[in-house]
Amino acid sequence: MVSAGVENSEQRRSQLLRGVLDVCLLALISEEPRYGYELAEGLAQRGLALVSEGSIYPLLSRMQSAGLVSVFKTASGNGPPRKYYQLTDAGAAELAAGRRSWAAFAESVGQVLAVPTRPEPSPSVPSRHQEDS
Amino acid sequence: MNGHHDAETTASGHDKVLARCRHQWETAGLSPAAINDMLDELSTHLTQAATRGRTAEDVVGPDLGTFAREWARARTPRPTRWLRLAVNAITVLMLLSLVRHLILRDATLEITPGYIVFAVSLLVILIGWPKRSGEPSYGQFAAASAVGLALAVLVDLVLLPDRTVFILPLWATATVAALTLAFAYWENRDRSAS
Repeated sequence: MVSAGVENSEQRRSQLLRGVLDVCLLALISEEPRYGYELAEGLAQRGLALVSEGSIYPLLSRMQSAGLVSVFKTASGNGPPRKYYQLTDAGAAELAAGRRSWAAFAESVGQVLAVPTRPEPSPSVPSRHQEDS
Repeated sequence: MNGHHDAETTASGHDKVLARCRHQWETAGLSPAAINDMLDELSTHLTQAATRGRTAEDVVGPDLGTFAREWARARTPRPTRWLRLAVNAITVLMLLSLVRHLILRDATLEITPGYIVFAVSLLVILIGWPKRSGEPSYGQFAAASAVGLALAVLVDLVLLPDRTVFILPLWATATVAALTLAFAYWENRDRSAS
């Protein structure tokens, strides 16, 4: 049985990943040309397992239409030919922009979510309790 | 023995998933080449995922229809879908108008407010449909026509009886019908070739 806390945590992780999935895919493709299953595996190996692995395909199609990736096919020993995705120049530029925005976003979120250090109470400022009484 | 049985069950499950996706993508109007391309990709993924103990649902998610529609939308640019639907709707309207010309044996057709309501509702329903569930099937097309017809009758017989908005000559009906049919033929051939 999965507790509500763990379930919420997984949902949040899934939502966060959805927002940067295109950049993550571009980053994996930039390492080497990969086909769909390899991309899902690459994400899972880095701790980014998708709720439904197939959700990468609509995204890959859009990235192909936008000219961010190009494709080539190679025969596979058993089964249909594999469709590999490789980065284009436009894709490399998009990846660089995505990396910059993620770094800025992560830094801002990090600042907001940093555990605050409680300031020492100043002796000159009366506490709320003292004011009320 | 059990392993062999499990493999057969898995393959059969994959075949069902692929068959449903094919049907959905054909309904969405994707070209046969695009459909085969997508099925190859999905088939490879399902087979390799199964070797790691992943089910078809792990790949396509809990709602296969949503998965297939989302992928089909990504493969077909929205303006193309809208244009195709608009042309289909206009073709139907022009063919219906030609039938009316023939039945009334008249070279001109009085376009009533109801006729315009019918045309607009057909366009709105058919172009609005893909937002929810991909491109409409013939049944949905018929349902849209029935709704449009009901509205048209209501307008012409109850709300605005005996009104003519403009006169449509036979040559105009025939020209628009020929143009939209030619577009549909050209577009269909182009999609099949791609």
